[in-house]
Amino acid sequence: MNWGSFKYLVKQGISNIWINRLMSFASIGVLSACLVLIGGAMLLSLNVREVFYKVEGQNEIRAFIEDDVTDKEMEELRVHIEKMDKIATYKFISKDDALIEAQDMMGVDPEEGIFEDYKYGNPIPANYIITLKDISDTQEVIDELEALPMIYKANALMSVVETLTGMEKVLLMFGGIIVLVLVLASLVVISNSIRLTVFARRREINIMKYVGATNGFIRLPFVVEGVLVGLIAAVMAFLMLLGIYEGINYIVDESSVGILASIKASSIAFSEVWMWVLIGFAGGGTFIGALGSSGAIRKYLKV
Amino acid sequence: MIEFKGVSKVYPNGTVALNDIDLFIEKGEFVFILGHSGAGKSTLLKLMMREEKATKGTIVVGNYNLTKIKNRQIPYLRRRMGFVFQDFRLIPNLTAYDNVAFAMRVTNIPSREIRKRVPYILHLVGLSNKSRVYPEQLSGGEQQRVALARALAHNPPIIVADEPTGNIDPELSYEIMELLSEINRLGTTILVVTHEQEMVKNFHKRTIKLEDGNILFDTGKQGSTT
Repeated sequence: MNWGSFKYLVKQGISNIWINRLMSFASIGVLSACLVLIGGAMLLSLNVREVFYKVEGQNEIRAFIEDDVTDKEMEELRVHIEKMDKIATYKFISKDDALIEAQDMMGVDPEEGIFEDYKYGNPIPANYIITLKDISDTQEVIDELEALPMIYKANALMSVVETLTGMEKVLLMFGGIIVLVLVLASLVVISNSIRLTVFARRREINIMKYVGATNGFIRLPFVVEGVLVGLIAAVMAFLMLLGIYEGINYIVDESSVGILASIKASSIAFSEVWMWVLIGFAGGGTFIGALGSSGAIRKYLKV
Repeated sequence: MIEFKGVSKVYPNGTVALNDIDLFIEKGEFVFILGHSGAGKSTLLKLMMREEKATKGTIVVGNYNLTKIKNRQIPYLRRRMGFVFQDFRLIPNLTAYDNVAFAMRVTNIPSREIRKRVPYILHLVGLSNKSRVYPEQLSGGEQQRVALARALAHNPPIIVADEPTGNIDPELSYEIMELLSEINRLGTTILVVTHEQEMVKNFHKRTIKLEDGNILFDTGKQGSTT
């Protein structure tokens, strides 16, 4: 194909959008809405994950050690924990440190606090603070630790763990379904819109077939139309998402509610992800546009 | 140039459109294909442009064996032929000039050549002064001449005209046929499908008559009418 023909075909594609502007507008609208929802869902999930990781980092298992373990048993325990591959970090807190920690937490003066009553013996057990590589392994690790004779109790805030892992699963599943449905909807709308252009131009397509235009040649303007609709939708979706994201950030900033402030602290700034969003939108829009258009024209090429 | 050897066409519904046809048309011939509707004329044309595949037999057009041709070669086969239809098939929102230029553009002919060739072709069909006019402002005869110009645009060795005068006033029909004869004199092979017996009689060209999918008679090269 020579440059002149290529220019001609691209021009045809652009003018198709204008001739068919009502449907083009509808496709751009639907596709950009889909992209905003997809992008929004992804940003939401990214942010949730970010919060999630923070909480996960704080979510630790405490393994309390029996008071009567010998030094040898203590060393065995350390080696055992060291070898457990689900564990990310561990830290030993001796009985003395544990007492100080407990006093700190309660805000009592060690000289005169409630622990004065325990001067004959420290009631706080030594323990390990353990963090996990994957929060969903919590129960398994607790079970393993409690099976050891040196440990009399291991615990974690299981409700937080369960909520978080459950939330992630649901989010992934629903997000996936929504994205799939939206992509299909965009495909149908774009394909139908281009089908209208194809229908309006069926006479030209027919003549093109008879004078010996190749299928690729006939298809190109429609693919250009689809891709262009996709790209315009991508840019619009990007701008909308930018507005929505910054808008939410603004509301959160202004808000005095504590929980919102803590979310804000762990949220991802748009400036960090804008390029990925734009690339994703442009790629997705182009792909959906091209796919929708080549589906729309197939029927008319069989002459 | 065009050869049908034992060609049959049976449509999926069982209709036998052509029944074991043998036909040979030499380069530079002018041939009328005569027959009533349903005689198999349209099928013959569809087979030639490979819109349909023959059920049996071999068809050769130029260098292409249509029984073996690949789908992606079909456009190139069609560039070796120019088609003229009964209903003109012009694009209404393009001028006469652009209708001809369009056909050239979609077959990858460079713009420079299009600008040179279109005026020449329009001159050839006698429409130089109507090049900026839209189809609806032209008479039937003029529209068919634009269609003929379009068929000639990429200088094909074969012109196939399907009832070219079917939608035109009788006196203008002669103009179109004269024009086709003129083009034939310049060396192009011409095939005209028609059911107008009178027209055929007046032109004294080779005539092949089809009936019920069979060749009823063939006057032979440059023969007189029977």
